[in-house]
Amino acid sequence: MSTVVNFENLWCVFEHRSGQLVHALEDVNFRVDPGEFVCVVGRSGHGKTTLLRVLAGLQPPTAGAVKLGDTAVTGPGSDRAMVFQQDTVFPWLHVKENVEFGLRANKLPEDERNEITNYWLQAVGLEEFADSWPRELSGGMRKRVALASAMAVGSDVVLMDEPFGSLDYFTRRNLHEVLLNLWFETKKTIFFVTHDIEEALILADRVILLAEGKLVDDIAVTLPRPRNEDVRATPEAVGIFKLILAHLGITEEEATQA
Amino acid sequence: MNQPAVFRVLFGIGWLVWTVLGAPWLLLQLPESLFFVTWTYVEGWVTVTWSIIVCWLILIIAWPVAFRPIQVKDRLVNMGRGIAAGPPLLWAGMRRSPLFFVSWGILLGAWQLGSYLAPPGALEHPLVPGWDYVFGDTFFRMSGDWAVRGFDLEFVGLDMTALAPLPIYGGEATWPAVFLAIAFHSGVTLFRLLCGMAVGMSLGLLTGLAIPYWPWLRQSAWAPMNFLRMIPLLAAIPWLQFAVGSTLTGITLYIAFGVWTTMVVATMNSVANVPDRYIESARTLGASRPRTYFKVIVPGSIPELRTAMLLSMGGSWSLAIAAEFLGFPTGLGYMANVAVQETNTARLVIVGFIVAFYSLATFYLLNEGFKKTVSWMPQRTTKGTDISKVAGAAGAGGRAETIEAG
Repeated sequence: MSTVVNFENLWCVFEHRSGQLVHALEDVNFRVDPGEFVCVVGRSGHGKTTLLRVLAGLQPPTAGAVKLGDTAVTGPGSDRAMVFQQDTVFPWLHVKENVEFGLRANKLPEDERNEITNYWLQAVGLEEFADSWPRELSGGMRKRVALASAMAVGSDVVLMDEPFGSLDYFTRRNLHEVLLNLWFETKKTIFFVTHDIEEALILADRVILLAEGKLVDDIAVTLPRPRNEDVRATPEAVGIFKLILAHLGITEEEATQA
Repeated sequence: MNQPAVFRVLFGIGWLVWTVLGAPWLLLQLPESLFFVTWTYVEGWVTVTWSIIVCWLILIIAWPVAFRPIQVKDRLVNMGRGIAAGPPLLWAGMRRSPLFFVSWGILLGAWQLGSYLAPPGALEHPLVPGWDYVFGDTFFRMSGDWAVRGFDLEFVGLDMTALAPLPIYGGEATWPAVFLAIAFHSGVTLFRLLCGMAVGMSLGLLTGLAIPYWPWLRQSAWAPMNFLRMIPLLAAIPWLQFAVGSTLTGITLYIAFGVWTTMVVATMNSVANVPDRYIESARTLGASRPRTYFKVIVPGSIPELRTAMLLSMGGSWSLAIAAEFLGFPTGLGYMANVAVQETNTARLVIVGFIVAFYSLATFYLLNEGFKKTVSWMPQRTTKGTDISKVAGAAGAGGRAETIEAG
C-alpha cells in the first residue's frame, strides 16, 4: 500500500439555477498517507460528499487537483472503489456476482476471481448467502455486500460516503467492527464521510473537519483501539468531541438533543 | 429437481422437431388396416381427419412423458390442485370483492333486459340481441366462416374438407365448423400479432437502447423518429396496403410500427430512469462505459419496460384487429367486419368476447414470462392494490388490512 493522496488547492464551485455561485469546496489542502483511516466530518451541505466525489472522479474540480501519488484524478476507476450512502448493490445480480463485478470489469481470470470473491464473502460473513438475491438480504447485509465489492477490487484507497447512515444503531456498530477488522487486515487507505462525531471517534486515525467548504481542522485521533464506551468517555476523547462540536458551531445542548 | 440447462434446451428442440416432423411422419407410416387410421396420404396430400389430430396430440404429449416424466407428473398434480382450488378461490373472491361480481351480473342482466325492451327495427338481426340469441343461433351460424379447403405447404398438402362441411360451398352448418372457424381465424390473427410484436418489440428495444448509447445517433435519429411517431396509426393502413398489399408482410410491418413507436420511447425512458447510484458504483468499481451500459443500465431498465411491453401488447391487439377489419379476408378483425356489414350486433359481441379472452391470455402469459425474467425483483407479497394500501394508510376502515389478510 503505497499511494499517497494529495488534495491540492481544491475548489469546487456550482452555479445555482438563480445564477448564484455555491462554493462547495474552497481551497482545500491536505495529504493522506497510505493506510490511514480518515473521517471527513461536517454538517450537511458543507462539502463532505463533494470532496469524496472529486476524489472518486465522479465530480471534476473547478480548480486545483486531487492526486494519487503523482497522478491527478481525472475520472472514476477501480483504484478508488467507493461505498455509497444509498443501496448500490445491483439487485439483478446474485450476492457473489455483485462481489465479483469489479473483478470481471478488471478482467481477472476466473480462478483468481473465484478465490478473491470467496475470500471477501467470508471476510464479511456472507459466504452462506453467495447465491442469494440482494432482495433476500437485510439492509445491513446489503451494506456488507457493497463493502465486499469495494474491497475485492483491490484498490489501495476505499471511499465511503456515510455508508451506514441509514442503518440502526446495532447494525451500524456491527459493521464498524467488520470494517475495522478489514482495515487492520488490509491497511487500505479509507476515506469515511460521516456527520456522526461518535462514529468518527470510533473509526478514525484523523478527522478532517469541513465547514462551508473549507477545511477548518485536521485532528489526529490517537485514542487506543478498540474504542469502546470506556475509551470514548476518557477526557481525551471528550476533548476531541467538544473540539469538533465547537468547530461545527454546535452547542453541547444541541448535540445532546440531536 | 433442476436439470442442466443443456438438457432442457435439447429437450425443447427435440420436442419441436418431434411435433413438426417426427410425429407426423410416424402417423403417415401407420397401415390403413389399423382401426383408427382414417386418414390418407395420396400424391403429397394428407386428408386431415379428427382421428389424425387426436393421434398427433397424443404423440406430442408422449415426448415429455417419455423424457421428463417427473416434471409431467408434478405439472399434472399442480394442475389438479389448481382445479380443486378453483371453486374455493372463486368463493373467496366473491366474498372479498362482491362488487366485482355484482357489477358483472348487473351488466349482463341489463343487456338481457335491454334486448326485451329495444324495438326490433327493420333489420335482419336485433340491435340489442339477448344472450340466448348471441350464443344460440348466431354462434351456430358462425360455421359459415369455416371456408378452408386445405393448405398447400409446398412439401405437403393438408386437405381439411374431411373435418367439417364447408357451408360456403353448399355444406350444412355444423358445430365442428363453428369451432374450426374460430380456431382458424384466431390462429391467423395470433400469428400476425406475434410476428408484428416480435419485430416491433425487438426493433423498439434495439433502437431505444442504441439511441442513448451513441450521442451521434441520438442527434441524427431524434427528428426522423419523432416524425414517424407522429403518423396516426390508422392513417398508415391504406398507405401500407398500397405499398405492400394485404399480405403478412404488410400487417406485420403495420403492427411492428405501432409497437415500435411505444417501445422505443419507453425503452429510452427506462434507460434514463436507471438510478445514477448504480452507474456511479459500477464506474468506481472499474467498469468501462460499454460494460456499465450493458451490465448495469440495460438490466436496471428492465423493470420499467414491463409496463411498456404490456401496453405495446394491448396496442398491438388493437392494431391487428383494425388492420384485419379494414383490409384482410381472414382473422378476427375480418369476422368483426362481416358482423358490421350484416349489422349483426350478436356476432360482434361474440368476436368481442373472443378478442377479450385472447387479449387477457396473452397479457397473462407476457406478465408471467416477465416475472420469470426478472426473478431478482422484489415480488409482491400482498394482494391489495396500491390504492387500497393508500386507503388503508389513510385510515379507511382497515380496508387494506382486510384485503391483505385475504
